[in-house]
Amino acid sequence: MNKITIPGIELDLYSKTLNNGLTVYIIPKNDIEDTFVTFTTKYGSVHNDFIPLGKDTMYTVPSGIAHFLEHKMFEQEDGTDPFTIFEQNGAMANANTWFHRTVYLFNTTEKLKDNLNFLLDYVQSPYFTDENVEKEKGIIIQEINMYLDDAIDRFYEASRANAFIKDPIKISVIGTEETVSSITKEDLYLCYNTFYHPSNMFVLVTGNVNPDEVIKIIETNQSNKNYPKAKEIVLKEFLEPDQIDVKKEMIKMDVKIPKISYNFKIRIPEIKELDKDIVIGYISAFFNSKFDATSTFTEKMRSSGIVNKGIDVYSTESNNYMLYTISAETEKYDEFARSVETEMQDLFVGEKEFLRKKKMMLAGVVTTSEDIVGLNYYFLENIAKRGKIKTDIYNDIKEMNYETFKNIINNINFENTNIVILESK
Amino acid sequence: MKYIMIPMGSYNLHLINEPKFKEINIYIDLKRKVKKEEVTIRNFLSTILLESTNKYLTNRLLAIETEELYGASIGSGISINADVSSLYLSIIYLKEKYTDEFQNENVFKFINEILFNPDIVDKAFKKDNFNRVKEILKENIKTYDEEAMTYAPLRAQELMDENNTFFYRGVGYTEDLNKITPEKLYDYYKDVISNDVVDVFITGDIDHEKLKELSASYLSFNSNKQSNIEFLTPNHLVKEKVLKETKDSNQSWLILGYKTDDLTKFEEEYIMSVYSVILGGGGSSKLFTNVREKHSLCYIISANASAFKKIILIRSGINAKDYDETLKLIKKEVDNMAKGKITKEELSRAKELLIGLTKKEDSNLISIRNQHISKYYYNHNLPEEDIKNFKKVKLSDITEFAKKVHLDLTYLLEGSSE
Repeated sequence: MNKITIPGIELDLYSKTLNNGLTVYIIPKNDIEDTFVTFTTKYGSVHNDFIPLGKDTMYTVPSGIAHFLEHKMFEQEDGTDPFTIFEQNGAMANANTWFHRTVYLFNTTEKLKDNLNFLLDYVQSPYFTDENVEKEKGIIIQEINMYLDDAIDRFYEASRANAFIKDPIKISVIGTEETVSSITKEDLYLCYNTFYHPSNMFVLVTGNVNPDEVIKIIETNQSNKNYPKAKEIVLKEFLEPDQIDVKKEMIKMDVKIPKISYNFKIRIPEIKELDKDIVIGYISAFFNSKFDATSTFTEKMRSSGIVNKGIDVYSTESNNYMLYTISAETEKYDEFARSVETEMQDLFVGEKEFLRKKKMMLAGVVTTSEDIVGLNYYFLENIAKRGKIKTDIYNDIKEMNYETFKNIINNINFENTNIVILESK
Repeated sequence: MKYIMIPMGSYNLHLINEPKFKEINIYIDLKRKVKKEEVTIRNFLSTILLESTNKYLTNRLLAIETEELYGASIGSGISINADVSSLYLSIIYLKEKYTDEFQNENVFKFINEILFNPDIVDKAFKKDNFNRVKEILKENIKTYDEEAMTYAPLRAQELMDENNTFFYRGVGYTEDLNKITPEKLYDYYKDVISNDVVDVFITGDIDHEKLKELSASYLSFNSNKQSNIEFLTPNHLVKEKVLKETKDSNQSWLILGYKTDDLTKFEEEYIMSVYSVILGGGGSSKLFTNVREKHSLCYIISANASAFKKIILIRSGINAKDYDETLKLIKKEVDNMAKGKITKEELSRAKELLIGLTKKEDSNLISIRNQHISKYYYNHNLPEEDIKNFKKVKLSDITEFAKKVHLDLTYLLEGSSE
């Protein structure tokens, strides 16, 4: 088992890859009683075109299937409900699907061994029947309708979907009523056998834990199970262009105050000796300086009455692109959009601002480590996206400097943008 | 010593020492009895205090200062508990070990500035700040009913009893908003600082002596004042109402509001939550298993109890056409609770869940703070006692409690775009 101390947060990381390819990561925090365990497959809503295990041609599954599969994992052949078992063992369980990964998790203060074994067992015993697949469709369609009513969700979906052309991140994680209705148990097994192979999965434990004990539990658990030899998963390749799909969309929904998102599709530059996370850090520092609560832009928007509350800045990553979304609630959305354009005519951000953002990033690493859930998700997303864990983030942030910042920003194309406006009928 | 309470004259200082955390929280709680006509102006005040100050003249400058404090996070708001309104200011910040040796003092200077040095001109809040905050509150009132999922349970509670203090609209009321002026707001501010009962809770890796000194220097509320306030919950009147309203949304929300009466302290603090977990708290609850999993009628269904409000709310997102069937199934499960059709496993699972949640609190700074607030204000037990008491809950306790649960309101917020 490997052990390193993670700089900046003074926690140790233990890791080991088992014979069947499953990797286990453990970050102990033993001054508390709580333990948080995630079991992740690097499989999400974007992986709909692939060569299934045991086959040799590309196959397409209906969108929304990764999320559907996540729901069905809770179905057991003997009829027992995983939630029940976890609760009996004093744990709270859940699962969630996102673009590039699906996570099964539990949180507990006791019976770690029982809960951990059960987590591995129920996720590794798929049970799909025509009947239970049909039944799930009704539930998921309710979920789809719930999100269709959610203005923020509709808004975010369109902001992202309209920016991308080929990238499957364009599609909603839960699919549509049409695609979900066409899912079959055969498709589910195909996806499961391909993507839920242990070599495509990892366990991450944070909180109260003895690393040696946990490795032993997992190794014993896995040794009783047989898997075909690990094979690299072949996904359909696509080439996403810089261009935007839909430059402007108006959504009419029951909202009292219109919302606007101004989205920047940024190709992430590949820079020698710089980790992708740090390059993204520089670009995020730029957008935050330009548009967050500390920006002169926000001050102008508020003092001129265009915006009353605040302006949100958030981002989504997919392959070689970052999508930065600047969003606000405002009646004067056309003025807002013009103001963003004017603001972006001058890309200057001062050194003082940059250094303050760097300070925030360093502080952010420390505060993330305070909470075992946040800590777990931080590294989980990192591993799912990059394939391996990045533990030197703190030191890399410390190395960030204004010269590199200016160079990166001056070489970025900010022209590829799309706007989404949400207003009442 | 972990917890110490120091009377400071015009407020009580509570110091909770928790060395394992990297962050420290300062929570300032100003309290007075709730008055409906004050809800809006009090909300206004809590918002405008974080808009700007005499030193940080714009919100931008205030935001920059929080970044200089290594990403300190500051918030304010109103919390109504029983018949008491808390206007709170809360800041979480990284401790000196991860920042610099002036961090604690700088944070106190910042709080002092926000609380005691608002941007006032001619005995009134500055007009532009005032107007901007007024627009924000207008927007909040306007969007109160925008999201069906969050609005339905709030609306249901209002309909259960409009006159009950904790069913008042937290966002405030337009009629009252229009009556507030920059001068009246300043008068109200002075009234709050002078007369509200104040408690300050500081939680984290703290040195009692140093924090006491900083508090004495920077938290200067005026004069001596009443040091305690009583929290009183009125009794309920049950009226069996069935109401429907419509909203332009794809999904409908069915809310059942139950009132409870004559509860013992043990029922309020322990049995009520065990009851609602068995009924509708999680993936193996009666409602989830029967209404969602067996009949596919919904994605969300849950039962939530509020001991303070003495109510239990069941909420479910459905298609309007399934109203009758869903209602029937829900009532059947509530009836099963009253009849004691609860297995040993259901009972032990619910207790395990609640015990697990209690144990978890020890790993969260804010949960620990809230434990001490509850102990001080309402004489609630600390986690060790809670765990012992949850273990004591028996099946007969649940059925006895179930007799005291009465359906007051059946409410459907019907989606008109289904």
